[in-house]
Amino acid sequence: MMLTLENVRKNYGDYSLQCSLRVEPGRITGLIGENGAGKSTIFKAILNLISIDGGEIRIMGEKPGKLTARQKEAIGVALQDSGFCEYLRVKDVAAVLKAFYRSFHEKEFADLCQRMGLPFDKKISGFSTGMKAKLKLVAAISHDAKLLILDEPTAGLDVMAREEILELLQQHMDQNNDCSILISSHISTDLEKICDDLYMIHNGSIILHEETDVILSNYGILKVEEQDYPSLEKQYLVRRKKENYGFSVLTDKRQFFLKNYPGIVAEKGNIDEVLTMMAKGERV
Amino acid sequence: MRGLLCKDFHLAMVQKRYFLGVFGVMLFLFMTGQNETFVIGYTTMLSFFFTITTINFDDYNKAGSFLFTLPFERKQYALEKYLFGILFGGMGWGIGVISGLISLKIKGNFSGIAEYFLSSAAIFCVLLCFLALMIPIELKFGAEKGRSILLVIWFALFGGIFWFSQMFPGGLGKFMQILSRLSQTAVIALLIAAFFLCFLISVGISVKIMEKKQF
Repeated sequence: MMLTLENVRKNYGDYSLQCSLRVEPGRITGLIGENGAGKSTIFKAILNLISIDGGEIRIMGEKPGKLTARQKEAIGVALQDSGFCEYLRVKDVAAVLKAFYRSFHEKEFADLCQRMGLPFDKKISGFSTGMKAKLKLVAAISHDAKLLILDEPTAGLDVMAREEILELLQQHMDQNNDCSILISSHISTDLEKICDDLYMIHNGSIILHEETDVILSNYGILKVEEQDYPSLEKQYLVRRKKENYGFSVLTDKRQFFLKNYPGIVAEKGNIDEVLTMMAKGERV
Repeated sequence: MRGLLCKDFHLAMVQKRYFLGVFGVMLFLFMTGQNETFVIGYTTMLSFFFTITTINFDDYNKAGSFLFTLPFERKQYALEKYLFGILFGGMGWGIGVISGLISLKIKGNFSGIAEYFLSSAAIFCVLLCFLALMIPIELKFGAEKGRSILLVIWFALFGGIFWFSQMFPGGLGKFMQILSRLSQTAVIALLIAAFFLCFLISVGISVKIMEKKQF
């Protein structure tokens, strides 16, 4: 296992995080949730930037605080609100990365920077949000990392920039089969495209863990009138929400209802709808 | 450690205008006949001060969170600041000393050369103590709070000395008498021991601060 979180707890006043999570080798695991759900807290805990109040975190078998500099070389990180000192230029970043990582690919880094339109001689402070995000990702993937930890790498970017970043990630995974990624976002379509499995987080708790394909193919939203609701097979219903017409109901067996309840409205679920239902819906 | 040193030296390189300014003022001070040891103090002080500036740069725009995901251990960060301070401050000191020698040569005033080197070494040690005081404060409180805390420490220090002199009249005088009875070598050895002790305490505090720091 590349990364495990077992009953990790962190309390900030009224806010409390409690979660378990796993990232397997060769897989891209997504963490999705609204702003303030706890995604960045999880990332900070994994990266030993904050202490935890309980539970256990293991990165490649080791506790984050016990990782040696050499072990940390196998981890590539991109954080939403933090990056290289903005007084540095890209060429300085290249020199610093070369000094930090024994397996830093200088030429690959330079080529990728050129491809992404990142000028080597300009200070990072003069970069746009998109350029900064690209630089963080290029730096994270240019030293043979076995585990990429990416907190909102596409946040605040336009569609084109987001596409470029996701393409770069996909390309990196194609070339490095043993690499694993933990990526967070509040933009579900970004995760839908690249993630093998997804964790949904709400108010500091994981409310769903499922394969992305399963969410997209099996989950659905049933729209039923109030009098029809009691006749539904309850074991396949996950959450329900009161609507003007009756209930919208989240199911993890959409095909079952399409087959056995002719005439029922069973819309294909998307990640946003599933997340909303899981977070706001009433347990069935 | 190599990566951290590399980062700080690159940060210094992108600030070359600042250092050109320091160099320009140094030349001006020599040209206006300033005392050489004063100029050494000036270049050394500003070079040491840049070490503190790198701590602020590391924190600028929340860059600290990302920095601490790079492959080094927390205690290495604290140790690197001292090493960088000694190296970079040493460079500033070296430039000051060499420039001072050139100035003395031009003036044809080599009579007090031994005293010149002794004063230069003393300046380096005193300013290194200042750096040892500043680093843990900056690491703990950051730039803004750090300045206020330093001010409080100065007041506390001078207040402490004043209190001591009031509570034990003649105490300082007695202390100086004891020192004057010692040989010059013993005094120097005592000062060096005190200097290393302070420096080690400062390093220990900084390492503890970094090991506990939350981002």
